Amino acid sequence: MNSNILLKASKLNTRIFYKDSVVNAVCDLDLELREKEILAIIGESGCGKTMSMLSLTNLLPQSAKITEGQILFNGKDIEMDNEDQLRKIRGAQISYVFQDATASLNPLFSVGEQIREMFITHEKIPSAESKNKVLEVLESVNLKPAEKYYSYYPHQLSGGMNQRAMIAMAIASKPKLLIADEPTSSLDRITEMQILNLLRDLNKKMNLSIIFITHNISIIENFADRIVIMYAGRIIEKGDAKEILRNPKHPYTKALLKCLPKKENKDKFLNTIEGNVADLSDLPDGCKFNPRCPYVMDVCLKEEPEFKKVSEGHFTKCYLE
Amino acid sequence: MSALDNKTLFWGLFFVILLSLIAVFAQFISPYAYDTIDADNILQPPSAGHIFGTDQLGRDVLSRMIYGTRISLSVGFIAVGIATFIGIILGSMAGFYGGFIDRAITIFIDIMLCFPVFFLILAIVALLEPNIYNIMIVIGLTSWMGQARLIRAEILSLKERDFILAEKVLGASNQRIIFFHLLPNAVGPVIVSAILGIAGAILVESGLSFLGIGIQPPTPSWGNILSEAKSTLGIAWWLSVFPGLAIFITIISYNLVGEGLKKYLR
Repeated sequence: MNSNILLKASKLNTRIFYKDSVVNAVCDLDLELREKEILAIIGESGCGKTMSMLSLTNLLPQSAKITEGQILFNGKDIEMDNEDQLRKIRGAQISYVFQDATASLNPLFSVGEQIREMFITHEKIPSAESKNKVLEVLESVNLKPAEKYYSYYPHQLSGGMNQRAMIAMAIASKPKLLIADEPTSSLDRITEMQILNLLRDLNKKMNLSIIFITHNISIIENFADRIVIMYAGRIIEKGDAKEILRNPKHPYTKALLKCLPKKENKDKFLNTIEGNVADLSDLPDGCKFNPRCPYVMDVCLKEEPEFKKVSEGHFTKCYLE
Repeated sequence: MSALDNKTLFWGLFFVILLSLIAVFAQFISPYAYDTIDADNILQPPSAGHIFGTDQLGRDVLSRMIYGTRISLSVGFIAVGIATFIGIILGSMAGFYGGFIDRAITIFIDIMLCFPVFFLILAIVALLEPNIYNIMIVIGLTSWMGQARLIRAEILSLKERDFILAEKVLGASNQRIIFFHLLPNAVGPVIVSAILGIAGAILVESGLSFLGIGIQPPTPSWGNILSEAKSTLGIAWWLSVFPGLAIFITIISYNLVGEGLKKYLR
């Protein structure tokens, strides 16, 4: 795949300021996303997945701040202080879908009304035409008959349907990039697969790039083109999805893959990764994974590793050969 | 549960609607004009001709009270309207923007709450001309703090909800988020507190009129009927009992509606 680069974040640093302490939620993040690509970001809770994605359009909570870094989107710099520009990008070019769709929809308005708001905000389409547009979008996420779903309120729909409605809202103004932040975590497996299929469909039909945040490594094998593994606010391994799943290099990635339930281990307890998730306010020197790493060496305690090329398009931050 | 199963709400609404109808149709239902002086019939006790009796100038008390309803209710509504408007603007700004704006508005609210409101109103009305419009405005300008606090608190909790982040994420402007998404979700408690506020405003108006700096005679208001009644309290009970009762029923019915709505909205 040699298509154009849609999003490029370089040296992105996001810090959270709390009283006197500073926490490095995202540290030197370098991210590239090509057009029409599906990128999965994987990591434990609190490893900075959501923070780094919110940083892209500066949607951070008040206590957090981007302290360094540059984001190029579609060849243009995203200015972090330019609220007007950001607002035009949000929703229109970069859209988000969150985990809990039912909570992400305003309980006072029908689903259709809320999707229509997207057209009003971004495209200034008169309300008579916009209704037809909303119906089209609802059809495209398989909420059929659209006419019926238009007037439903969020509490009348199931979690999966609400998630479809959320996706409809997110793709309404035909964005280039959809950031899906654990969109299926609160759904059952069947609905989860349906949502993933829907996202894949949209990816093909609308040329939509997708960044898919998850901690469920098992669902992405047939879904994502590339994978980024994050730990303690840093990317520790990145590369093609199939390559990483088959040939993981970083001990953390290996450990994550070992935690998956497998048929042949059905009588045993599931594997877990020893130790706790890294405490961002109290990180060790050197490689941030060293307290939990079974292969820890002297050098790991002193110096943080740089990216090392494993094969074409597969990089890892580990001293192990 | 339908709204009418709620007894509190039902009786409250019943009296509120009755009072509003009386206020709207005052000139059709009052048996006499409120300012017709009848020197032959002063201080008559209740009788068939004058159901609530007459006052020291021979004016029909029932007619004066019916017109007084109009004054009291309109003062209540408009004063609370002003208070709610200010409360919504300041409260939502404080809650939504936070930081310096929030601190400034909160401190301003605290300062306003430090004044004994009734004396503040007395002082302002003493400087201005005490007509009905000034009374409305002054009551409105001195009673918005509760509303502002309530709305600030509502917005503070609502703005952390996921759908507000979702709106922001999808590119909605701050104004749109405040007016289309936050305030409609906060409307329940605001209406309840506004209705309870109407009762308070009516009470303040009656108190001001009773002290002689509210609604000026000959325009009747329950407060100034009471005020005129106090010199003849020993010989003409009907002059004070009926307007007192009217104030009592009005306040209680607005409170019932407020409380009933609170229960109903939950």
